[in-house]
Amino acid sequence: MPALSRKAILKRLDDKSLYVGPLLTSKQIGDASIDLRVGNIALIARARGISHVDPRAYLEDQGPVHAYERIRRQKLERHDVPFGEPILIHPGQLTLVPTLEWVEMPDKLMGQVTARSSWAREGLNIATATLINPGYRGIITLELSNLGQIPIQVYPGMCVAQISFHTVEYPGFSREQASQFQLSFEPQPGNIADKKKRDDAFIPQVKRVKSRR
Amino acid sequence: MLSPREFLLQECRNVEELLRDALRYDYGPTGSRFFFEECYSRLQAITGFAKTLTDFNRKEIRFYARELSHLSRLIAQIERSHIGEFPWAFGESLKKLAERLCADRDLDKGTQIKKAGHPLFFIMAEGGLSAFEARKDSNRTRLCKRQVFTIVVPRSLKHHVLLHAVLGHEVCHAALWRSKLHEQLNVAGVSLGKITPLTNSQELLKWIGKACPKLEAQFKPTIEDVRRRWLQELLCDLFGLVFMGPAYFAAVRTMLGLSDPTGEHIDPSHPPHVWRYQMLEYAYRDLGWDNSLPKSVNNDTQVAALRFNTALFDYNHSAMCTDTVIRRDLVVSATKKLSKLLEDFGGFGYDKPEAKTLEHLLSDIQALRPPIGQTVKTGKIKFLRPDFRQILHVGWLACHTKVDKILPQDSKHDAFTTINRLCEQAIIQERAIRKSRIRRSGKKKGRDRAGA
Repeated sequence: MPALSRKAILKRLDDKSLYVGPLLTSKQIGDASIDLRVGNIALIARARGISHVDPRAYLEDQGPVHAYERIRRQKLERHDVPFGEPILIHPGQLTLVPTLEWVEMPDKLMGQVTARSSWAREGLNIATATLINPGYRGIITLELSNLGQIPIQVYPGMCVAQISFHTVEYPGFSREQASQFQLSFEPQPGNIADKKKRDDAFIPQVKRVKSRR
Repeated sequence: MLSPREFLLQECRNVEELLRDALRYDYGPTGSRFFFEECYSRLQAITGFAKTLTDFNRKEIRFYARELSHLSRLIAQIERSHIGEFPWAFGESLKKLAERLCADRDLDKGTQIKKAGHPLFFIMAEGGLSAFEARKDSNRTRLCKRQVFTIVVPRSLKHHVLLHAVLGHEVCHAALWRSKLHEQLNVAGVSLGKITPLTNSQELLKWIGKACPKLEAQFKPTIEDVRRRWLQELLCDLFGLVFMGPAYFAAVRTMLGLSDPTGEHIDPSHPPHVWRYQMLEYAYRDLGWDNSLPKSVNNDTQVAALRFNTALFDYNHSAMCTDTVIRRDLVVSATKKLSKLLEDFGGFGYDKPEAKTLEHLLSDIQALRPPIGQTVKTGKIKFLRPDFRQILHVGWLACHTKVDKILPQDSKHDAFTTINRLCEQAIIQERAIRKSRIRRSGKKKGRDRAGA
């Protein structure tokens, strides 16, 4: 699974088989990666939101629409952050932000997102989902987490992450697989109880008690 | 019981608390400081005067109570304006132009527009599909340093920036109020009475009698007001088109079509929609925006432009004797004058992009990416740098292509919403590009100066 070099990235950007934009300077393209900038939305856990994450709440047919939607909407607070305004990330806090860049992966490539080492040394980590599927297009959600002891302030437009590109053997991009976050315009919570993957088979069902009349 | 004076002073303290509380919210990028300072200065002035009054100054107490009431309403509005409820990047781009267009005629007597003389605009979202509105700070007295305008947008249309092009009309309503631009409109001869041959209210009444005899008696007592309002709406439409470009016409057609599909309804506040469509069509054609694109442009772009124009002009042209009221020669003359005026005023008119630029931006949307026109050639990155109004224009063109065919299966959004969101994203990205370029050129200038 070789990674694309700067030359190979530039070639693909040139012939448009890969798209990452806007690239505000050519210095954003490193030896084997492209730097990604923080976008203008921050999703942060709500102080008076839900008590814990329960996959059962993600099963749509488990309760009324109100309860299902309420849990999803109340878990995170959404902030639109214009350029020049700070996003403060406290130690241990998880903050979902979009990239400023729109990314379009060809069928033959997958992406791997990591923190830039200079930010990682300050304690800023790109927490988990680092793989970008072949065929994906949209913004990339960065799961920023502060592993240090003091709060970190970032500003929209700053390069905090990088994406490297790797070739995929026997490419065959499945539209069905890519659909959950395909064409994302902003970070959004995913579905941790995916029925398509039969997660629901392992989640205990909520017993419904008939109310007495 | 409190005396009126005591209650006034009490209310001054309450409003101050309300003002401080409003700082809890983000009600606009970079804007909160100026609103706070303007409101705080008005409040200080009212409190200062109120303290010098006695219970016998009834007239003055009433005056300051009214001022205070107006201020508290303004603060409550600002408090309800949350940045997550409207497209802030679009709002900022529009505000930047509107602040200069609506510069107050009294605050600047020199040739250069001073920053302090600019009005303040803030945007808020409200319920209702047709909530687009520009509210004036109508209570303008000596206590006000800067004019405050509120732009209202429908909450449900947060991401639908293509429809927000109708705000061009609302900016004109704001500009028609005590602005330098208004003075110059009159000087240039683009005044209310010069767009239609309806030179007096009796002619309008005659027209209403012909079009809908039942309404003649109802409109008769207020016919002068109706005529003034209708002409103002027509002027704002013309301004909206010249200022916002083809996106304005498309947005107007979409929004008005919902409230009155035939366009023949007669309403005292707005002229019949077919009048507006007809006037916009004459102006649109006069501006040359309906010209077919050169053959060097790809087929998709040509077809999109053709379909777009056809959709714009698809209304009942012979309805309500529109041709007797909206005359091509008068509209063309007003359009020419208005275009020149906006150009001389600071290049505010819509600048139609070249055909090749349109083609590139449209191909961006067709590839489901934000239309910013990025190209990478031999390691060099270039952008087409479209204006936000050009992005909206291309967005509307894209609505007349087969974008829906390339949307992924299970896509959360339909084609119209996707195009809107791509355009919204492009406006944000364009701001980032602009910001990075300004900072870089600023650094260069600084270095040059240091070198010198």
